[in-house]
Amino acid sequence: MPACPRRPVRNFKPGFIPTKFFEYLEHNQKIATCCRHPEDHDIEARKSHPDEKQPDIYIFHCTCGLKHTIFCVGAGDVRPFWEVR
Amino acid sequence: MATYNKFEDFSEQLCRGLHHLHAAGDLLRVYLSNAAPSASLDAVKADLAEIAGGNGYTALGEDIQNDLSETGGTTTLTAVDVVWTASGAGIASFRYVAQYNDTNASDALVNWWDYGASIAPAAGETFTVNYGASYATLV
Repeated sequence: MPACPRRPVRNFKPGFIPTKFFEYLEHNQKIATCCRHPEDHDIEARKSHPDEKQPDIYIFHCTCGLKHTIFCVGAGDVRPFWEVR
Repeated sequence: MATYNKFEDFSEQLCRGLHHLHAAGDLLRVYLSNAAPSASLDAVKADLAEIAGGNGYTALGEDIQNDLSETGGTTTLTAVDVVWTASGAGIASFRYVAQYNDTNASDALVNWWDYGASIAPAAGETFTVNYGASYATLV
């Protein structure tokens, strides 16, 4: 279910989106060049279940239309949350 | 974080010494399924169908490089994040992310997480399992 609306990654302050999320894409040589530049992507956040307190799914939308999904199953990491006003 | 769902048989088998979750112990794998798991009825990997291999998904799943640490009586289970990249064509639809003990002769199931809906990464797309600082604790 949707948790946070899609918006450009560039609109966030540096550090708001965990660095690790970027590294998943920047270090992946199996994906297209454009996909390896998450700073140019949009990002949205979702919840796997309505009872989740924080988003546990983050989806990067590349300019080419492809999506890169991160499913957060562990504890102890940062789960950014945002609203659009 | 997504809710950790335990296969009921896991706790018994853990106490019987079947699972050795430290790095030098057993090898745990994470795999993808589009079949609804049963906490009470599923005990081994054969009970919970895996998606077809191919297009960036390797049948049997991926080694999570499991390890653990203990502090003050709390044991923390850790793993290394896994990234699947669809290539050539899409990865088959799945909804559940499950773990099993590959060292165990029966491939005993450990737990699963529910993504909430089926997903099928298209060619060039990725699906990452982020384990965070830990994926489970035993107290």
